[in-house]
Amino acid sequence: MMKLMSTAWRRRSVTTLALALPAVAFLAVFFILPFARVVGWSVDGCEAAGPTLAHYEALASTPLYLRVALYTLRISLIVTVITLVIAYPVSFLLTRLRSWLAAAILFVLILPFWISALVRTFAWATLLQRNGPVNDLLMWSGLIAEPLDLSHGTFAVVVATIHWVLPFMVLSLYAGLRAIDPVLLRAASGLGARPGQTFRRVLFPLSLPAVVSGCGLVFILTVGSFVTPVLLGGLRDVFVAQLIEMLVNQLVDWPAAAALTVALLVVVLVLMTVFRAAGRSPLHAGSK
Amino acid sequence: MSIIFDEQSIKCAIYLQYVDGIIHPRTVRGRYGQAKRGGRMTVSLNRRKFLTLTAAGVAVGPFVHTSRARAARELVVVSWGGSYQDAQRAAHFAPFTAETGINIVEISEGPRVAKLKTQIDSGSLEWDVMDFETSDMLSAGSMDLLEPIDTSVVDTSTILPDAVDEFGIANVSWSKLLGFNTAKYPNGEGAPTGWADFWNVEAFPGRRALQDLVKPNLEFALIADGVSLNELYPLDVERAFAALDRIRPHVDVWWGKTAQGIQILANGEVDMGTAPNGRLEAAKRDGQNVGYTWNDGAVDFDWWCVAKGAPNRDLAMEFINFAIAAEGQAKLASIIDYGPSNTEAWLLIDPERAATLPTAPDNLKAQFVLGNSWWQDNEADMLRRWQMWKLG
Repeated sequence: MMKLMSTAWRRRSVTTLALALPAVAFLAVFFILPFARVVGWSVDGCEAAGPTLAHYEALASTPLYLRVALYTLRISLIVTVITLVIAYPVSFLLTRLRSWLAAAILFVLILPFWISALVRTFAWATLLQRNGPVNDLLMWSGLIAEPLDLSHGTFAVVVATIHWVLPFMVLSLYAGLRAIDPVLLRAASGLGARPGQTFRRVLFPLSLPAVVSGCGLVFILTVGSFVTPVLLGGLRDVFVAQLIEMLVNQLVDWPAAAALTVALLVVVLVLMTVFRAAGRSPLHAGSK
Repeated sequence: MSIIFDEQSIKCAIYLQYVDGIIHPRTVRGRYGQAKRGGRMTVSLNRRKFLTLTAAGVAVGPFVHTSRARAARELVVVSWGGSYQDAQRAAHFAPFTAETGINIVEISEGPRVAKLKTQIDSGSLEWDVMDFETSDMLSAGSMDLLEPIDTSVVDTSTILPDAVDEFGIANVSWSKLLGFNTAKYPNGEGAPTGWADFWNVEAFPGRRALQDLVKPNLEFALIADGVSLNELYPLDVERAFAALDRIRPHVDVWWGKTAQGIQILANGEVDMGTAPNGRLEAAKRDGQNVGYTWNDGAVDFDWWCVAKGAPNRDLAMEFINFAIAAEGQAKLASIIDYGPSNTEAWLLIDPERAATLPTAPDNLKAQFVLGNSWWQDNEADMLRRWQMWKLG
């Protein structure tokens, strides 16, 4: 019996490996190898013998990089939290709707994916400008007397970024929420839990893995923003990607660009690991 | 002039010897074989002979079926696509092919130093001629990625002195100008006429835009602060940033992309701001609410450059010499709003048209030419300092 099971298991793992092989090979050739080269550049000592950490030291000792990195992480965090708050009720609602209606709403949500990032960003600039529809509406309704400076600032960057990352969050949450057995929610209220309690003690803990993966996805996407801050940002809205672009294209200082890239990746990986550990569902943790 | 020939050129020479009856038809194939195995020869010749040889290369082309042979009849030119490259095709590429038979292989991805460096470092150089922006030419030149311009081939005698560099000859000129919205200033009445007005927020109230770029904002700031156009360089950086500190709270938009810079002027998001002359003129012609002044404008160039170790270096020099001639430049300026660098081109351009171009003598007097040598030494520091200044 044991032997039979282990043979079956082995066969299954071989199949799994074979199925994963194309993806792994693709990543190895088009991501891991080039990235190894980037890491190589970041410690390149040029004519001096051997690898060096000088480029990382230069990063750490230049206030510009630190401030831009902190700004990038702060905005990414804000975007992630707001996106989660907006996406969660929508995703939960989707699981309760008839399937055709849910499909229709999902379709509308995914629609922005088909518009080029540049066009979408310009559209936001037009919507938010002083004589644009948003200001017109606010003035018409009498809420404001003078048009607001909505475009070209942190507000515009955050709004346009949320618009872009929202579908990623909804899809992650929807997949996670749909897997939760509705019987559990009914059981909770049957046992006397108020809706708030049901959410806090049953629904949300069960959906934590989906929340973590959705937030992770959105955070990573936002950290890499480039077009949005360039077109919609104010003077202070500088993301790390813009500095990397400056180092690659304008200063042609590749070792510094590589060091900044690697440093950003390491910071994001560390944050993600902490986040995952902190966000592990207590129910799942208990069952282990 | 003495040129080391590659395989295809040697074949052309052999072909000519055969046509002239110097060698027997039967020996042609054998000599071709030698050329293919890497035989080299040096021939002394003048420009006309060179062109004849190249034309002969086209004639003999159909008989020579190797990929190298095809490469030698082509010149790879990298430019910026869009209406600019369309104009270049009409004014430079097509006439060059018609005259010499050399096919131009166009790349429109926009040449950047980073891409050129990657090609040269990896030993897979595909580019011959690039249309570089000034800062890219300067950094590529200092990184040993460019061939010096061969002035024995390229005739620079009638080119503006500012438009000649060791590693490039200017192809077109363009300006960063002070533009304004004509809904706010009908017919330009009461509009700012220079950077001093732009900085004067009491006398010229209104919403303002500048480009999010250190060059030429430092120059603009110094002009606003009272420095005269011909005494800008070397730039007084501290004074420039101090002047920028003063205008900063009054600038509503720092635009990133050119399309955006012109859009916010035309739709009234701002009343005054910087934009490139070509976009301003096009919007004005288009009937949009845009006007501009040539005063205190910053003239800059795009440059023809040749990649270090370019597969067709000599041909590339020939092409540049062809492209900067007065006829081609005049043709280009008739299609697109960029000015010629060849002073003789003005004789061929309609005066009304000339008034809309940055290097027209009257317009040039009101502006300044960006100081390339100063920027070459200081650009890296200034780029970093600008990013830091932005954070406030």
